[in-house]
Amino acid sequence: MTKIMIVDDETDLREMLNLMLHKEGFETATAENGDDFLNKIDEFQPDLITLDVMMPGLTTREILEKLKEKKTKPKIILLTVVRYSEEEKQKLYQRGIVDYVTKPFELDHLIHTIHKYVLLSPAS
Amino acid sequence: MEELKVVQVNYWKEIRKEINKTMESLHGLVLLTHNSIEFSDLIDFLNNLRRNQQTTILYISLINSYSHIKQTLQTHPLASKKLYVVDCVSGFLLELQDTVDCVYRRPPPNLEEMKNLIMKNIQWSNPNIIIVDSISQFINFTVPTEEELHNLYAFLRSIKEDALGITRDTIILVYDDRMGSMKKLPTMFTDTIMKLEIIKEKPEWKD
Repeated sequence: MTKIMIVDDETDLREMLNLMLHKEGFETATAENGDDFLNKIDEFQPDLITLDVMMPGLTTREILEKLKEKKTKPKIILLTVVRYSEEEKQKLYQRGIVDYVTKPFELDHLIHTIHKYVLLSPAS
Repeated sequence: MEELKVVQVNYWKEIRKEINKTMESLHGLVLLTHNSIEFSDLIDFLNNLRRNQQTTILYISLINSYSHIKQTLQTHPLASKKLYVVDCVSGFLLELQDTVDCVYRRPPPNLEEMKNLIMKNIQWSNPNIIIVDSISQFINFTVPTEEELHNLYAFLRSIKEDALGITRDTIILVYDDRMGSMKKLPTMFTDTIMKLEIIKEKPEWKD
C-alpha cells in the first residue's frame, strides 16, 4: 500500500489530512515538526510526504538537507501559504520537491495532486 | 426553523466615488481586509495611495517571496514609490543574501516579535508607510480567542505609540478574510478599516 506521511505543526489540519488520506486508501503516518519527521521517516518509509513549509524548529531548508542522510527518499509535496516566483519554483524542483499546494486548499485538490505522483504505486 | 443570534453587525461603505480623496488622506493605523488578493492587486491599491508623491514603503512579507515581488513588479510597476522588503518566507527554503532593498528574516512567532521586527527595520528603510502582510497568521477574526484579542490590542496600541511618527504616518495591516466572516472587528486603536474585494472570473472567449 502507498504510504504517505503528513508533516504539519497544525494539529487539526494534520489529523484531518491523516483521516482523509487514510479513507482514500493510503497508509498514513504523521509528524508534528521537522525533527519528529526525521526521526520517523526510515521506520515508516513513506512514498510521499506532505510538508508544511513554515513550522517551528527546523526550517524546510534544514529538513531537506538532513533528509539527504536518510535511506528513504520520498516524493515531497509542499503545503504553503507563500507565493513563490517561477525561478524559485525551479530551484525547489531541483531539491526533490515534486509539487506544491497553496494553503488554504480544497481537499480534493490536494488528493488530486497526490494521485499525480503515487497513481502507479502498487496498492494492496 | 432554528433561531439565529446576531453576533456582529459590520457596516461597509463603497467608496469608488471618493476613492482619490480617501486614498490621499489615508493615514494612521489601517486594517486592510481582502478576499485573497494577489500581490499585483496590492500594487494597484498602493498606486492609488498618494498619487504622484514620492513615498517610501517598508513591506513586511509573510506571504510573498521577494523574488515573487520582483517578478510581479516587472509587469505591475509601483509608481513614484520606493519599496523595501523584509522577506520572512524565502529563508525557509533557500539560502539567500540580503540586498540593498531586501532583508531575509525568520517569521515572527507572535505579534510582540512582529513589533520588534518592525522597529528594527524602520531604521534602515526609513519608510513613510509600513505594510504587514499579513496578520492572518496571528489572528482569525471569525473565531478569535480572548488571548489573541488581548495580544492584538496590545500590538496595535504599541505600534501606534512607537512606530508611527510625523513622516512615518501610516501602518497598513493586511488581513485575508477567506477564513470566514469577521465577527470581531478591531475598532479600538485602528483609524481606518477597509475591505478590498476583487472578483475574478475566467474570460469568456468569443470567436
